[in-house]
Amino acid sequence: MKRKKPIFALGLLIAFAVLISACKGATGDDASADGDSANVPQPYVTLRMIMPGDESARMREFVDNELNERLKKELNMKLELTYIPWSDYQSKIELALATGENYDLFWYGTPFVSDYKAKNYIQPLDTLLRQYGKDLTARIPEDNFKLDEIDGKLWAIPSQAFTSAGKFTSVMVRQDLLESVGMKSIQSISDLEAFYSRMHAADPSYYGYLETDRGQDALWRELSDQPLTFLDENQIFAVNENTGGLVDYLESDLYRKVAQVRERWVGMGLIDKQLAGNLAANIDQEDAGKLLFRVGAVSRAMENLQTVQNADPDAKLREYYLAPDKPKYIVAPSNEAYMIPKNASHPERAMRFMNWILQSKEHYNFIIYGVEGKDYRIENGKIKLLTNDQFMYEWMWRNKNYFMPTTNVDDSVVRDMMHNDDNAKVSRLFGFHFNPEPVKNEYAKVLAVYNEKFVPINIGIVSYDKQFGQAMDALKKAGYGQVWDELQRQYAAFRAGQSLSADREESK
Amino acid sequence: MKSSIFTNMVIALLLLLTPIITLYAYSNHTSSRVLTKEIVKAKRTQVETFVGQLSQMFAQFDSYQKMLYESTEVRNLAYPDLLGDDLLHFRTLKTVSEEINRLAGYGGWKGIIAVVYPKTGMVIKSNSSLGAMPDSLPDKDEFWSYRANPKGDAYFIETISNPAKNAKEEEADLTVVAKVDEGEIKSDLSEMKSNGLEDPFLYKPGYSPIYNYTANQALIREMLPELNPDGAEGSFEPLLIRTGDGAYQVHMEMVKPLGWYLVDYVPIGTIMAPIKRNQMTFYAISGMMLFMACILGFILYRSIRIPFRKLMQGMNFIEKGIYTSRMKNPPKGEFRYLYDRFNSMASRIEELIEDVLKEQIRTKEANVKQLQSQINPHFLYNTLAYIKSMVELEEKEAAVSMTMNLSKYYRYTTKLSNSLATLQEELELIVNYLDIHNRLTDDFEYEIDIDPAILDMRIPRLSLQPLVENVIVHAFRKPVRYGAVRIRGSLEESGIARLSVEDNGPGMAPAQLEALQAKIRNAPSDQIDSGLQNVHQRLMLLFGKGSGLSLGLSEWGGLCAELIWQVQDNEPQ
Repeated sequence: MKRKKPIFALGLLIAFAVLISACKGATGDDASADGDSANVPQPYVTLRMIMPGDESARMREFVDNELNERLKKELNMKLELTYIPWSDYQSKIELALATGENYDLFWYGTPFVSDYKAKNYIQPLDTLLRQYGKDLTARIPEDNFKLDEIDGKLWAIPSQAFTSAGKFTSVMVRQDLLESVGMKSIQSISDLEAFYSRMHAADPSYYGYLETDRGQDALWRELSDQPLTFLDENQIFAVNENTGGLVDYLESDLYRKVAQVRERWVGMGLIDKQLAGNLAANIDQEDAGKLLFRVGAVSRAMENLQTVQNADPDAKLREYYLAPDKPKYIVAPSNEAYMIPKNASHPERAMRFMNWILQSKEHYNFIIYGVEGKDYRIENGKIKLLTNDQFMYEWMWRNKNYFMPTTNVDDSVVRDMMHNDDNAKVSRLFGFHFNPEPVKNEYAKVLAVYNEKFVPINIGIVSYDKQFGQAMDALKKAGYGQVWDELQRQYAAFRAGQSLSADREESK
Repeated sequence: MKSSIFTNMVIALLLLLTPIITLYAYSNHTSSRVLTKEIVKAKRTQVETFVGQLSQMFAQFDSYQKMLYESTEVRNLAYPDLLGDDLLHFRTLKTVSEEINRLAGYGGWKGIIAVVYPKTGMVIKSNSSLGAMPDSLPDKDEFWSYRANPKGDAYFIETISNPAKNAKEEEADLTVVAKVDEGEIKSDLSEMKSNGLEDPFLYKPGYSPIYNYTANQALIREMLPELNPDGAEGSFEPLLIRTGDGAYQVHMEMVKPLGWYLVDYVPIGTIMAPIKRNQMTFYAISGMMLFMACILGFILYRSIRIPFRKLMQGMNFIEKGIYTSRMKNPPKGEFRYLYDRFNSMASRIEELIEDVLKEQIRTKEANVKQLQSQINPHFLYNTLAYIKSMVELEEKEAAVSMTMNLSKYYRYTTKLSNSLATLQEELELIVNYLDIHNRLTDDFEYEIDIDPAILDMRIPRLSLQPLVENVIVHAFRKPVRYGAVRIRGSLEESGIARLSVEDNGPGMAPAQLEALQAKIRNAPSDQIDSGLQNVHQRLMLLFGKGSGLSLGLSEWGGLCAELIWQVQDNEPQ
């Protein structure tokens, strides 16, 4: 018994000592945390974010180490990315949103914002943006935010802030081939036809133009004396940017002119009627380096370069506007939308994180290209990639203030993009969304008839002169008149609202 | 001795432990067997499930291919004359193209479906990427076959033509192609890997295996020669393959449409881990039980067996009469008490036996001395002379009285049977003795004053007489005046009895008295040469250390010898 006592006492002493040191340690930590938390939010949290595609090995490593190390220091948070493959992205993300999984941030296209708002998946961001997003509002133009405003509230952050004027109204040309047949640039429809003819004479394996479901408005720049903008993806209605009036495009003379150009192109082989309708063919031929031109998309010459160079290492791409002096119109400045789910655990940190990305060029490059010197190098104002692994998608956050092209992109292409907005105007349609609900039956029928009767005319395999009358009759029978009336009514209401707010601003 | 408590306890422990361990071993064996079976079955089911998935994918492509093959639009496109009209051609092409895209879009399979029209050179396909279609189609129609194009990209392809193509030279009007790239299979395998398979790969003898993206290819290559698909159909035991890295359990199952086998292998160590854990637990627990039993045995041995044996040794010594034996290093607990008791018992026995022996010796010595002293010729001569003169003087009564006293005196002193006598008896002897001397000399008187409470007490025989004799012999030798002897007995409250003999003789100088007292007290027990020493020793032996003979001066100036003894409780009163 006598020997046990000292042991017990010793144990007690040790326990006491441990307790004391533990208390000391805890208080010590607190003190140091308080010390450098001047701007760092509390507490330390994990931000869960969804990304589309597949995570590269380097991205995984980068997030786990360099990125999270910085985020801990600067935002006191840890980023946890969940990648969902592109093929399942929509279904899986909607499942996650519907089941209320507590993700904090996700990306999707702007068209989905109103849908997700209606389904009550996402939360309004006005207060958060005001409190934590001053760099977002500073780097992203105010107009871009209007895209994601519904019922007077902001529902998404339009993350991309780059040029968008005249999107889908340009043509992207194989510049190297153009130069190989002695031409320098494309200014007109006849330039395109000459390009094809000369190229076809030199090497008949090249295809002219295959993207027949788009591109009518690219031709308008030359064919129309009035600046028009398509109202819908289906290319049925347009607005006159000068007058602000709606245009019944199919019944206009302009449509006849466009159809006739296409008909001529089919005739000369610029459009291969054997391939029209074969959906995979146009991309196929582009990827194979066999396509001479297609519809441009402002930065497509940069984005598609790598693919085409895989087929032909000497390939160069460049985008041209027909009648280049005419103004361009901005309809949708950003298609990228970052949303915060309704059930997010840390909405405030999600906003801070987005703000952090655009806070400085250094942050921007860090998250898009990785560690300077290790993952990329800056060479003559361009990004030289040292790894092929994808980090944060560049297009998601592409920002005019910070944009740097990669080394393989030609200077002329970069120049084009940087000056794309030079003679741009905001479209009359900006902010207008046609709601087909009141005429949905007619609208569905109209679309079916349009696809059956008008698409072949659009492509040029059916003669406008022979078929238009009959096609138009069918369209009217399907209820074209009602749709047109409803569209006019909604558009008039939209214009009225617009002029009212404009008046108010003027009176101020 | 053979079946000591300790042995019995150890045997009981073993008896207890044996069935427990046996039962435990049996249950462990059974559970291991069941577990092994279940693990193998689970693995097999897993492999079968994935094989089912793969088979289903290829079967689905089969059915899509048939659907396209039988479609009127698809056939019509083969005969441009039938579709004289550009519009009709466009519409048919669009329909077929959309149909192919739809089919390829179902189910999340990333295979490629295409219709090839060799005569017009037209290809309609579901995937627009370069290399989606091989440069050349198989020479004849066939089910899924594995091919590689010159760039090294491998794929499974299946074709069906109209009219049927049976040789390379024949040119079909149309061929419906279904193709799945090796890359897709690899992705699927990688996905299977992340969904529970260990390291799946596809294998067909004679071909290079299709690995998942993170496969351990070197290890798989090492296994390949051992893989024997013959008899792999249906249910069969998993193969056991030993490689340089260890043993592996290999499951293989045929993907029917392909004729390839999905193979997955698991290191025996991994798959058997739960069983191994189970067994380790078993060994650990059994070992622990045995160890605890040993510890228990050792504790029993230390705390019972050893002290017990020592105790028995001690007993043996006592039994053999070695009363000096004592227990040393007493252990803790009850045995310490037992040892202590044993030790005190042994010492008590030793003491008692010693006392008894000494008492006997002293008694004998006392008797011998008494006899020696009383067969003193002067004493007897004087007495007999006294009797003779009394008879001559016709003092009949005095002669008779002297004779009676003498006779009683001798009878008492020569009676040796009992070593103890009551004080009463001793006093009677003293009275006889004093009477005899009184009659002989007639120069002293005596007085006896005894507390009746002590009359029945037993004291060593002849312990009073030497004191009185001392007075007669030494104090009255030169009588200057009339002598006086007083014998007093008392019992104190504390249980100490005192019996004193006082005289009025010349006494002794204090130093002399002191020396005499010391001589009596300190005489070694084996060198008794005076009666007084003998008395003192016997009292001490009988009544303990506090008892004995004490000398002092009487109030008359003579000597006072006092017998002191502790009255014992069990003394019969």
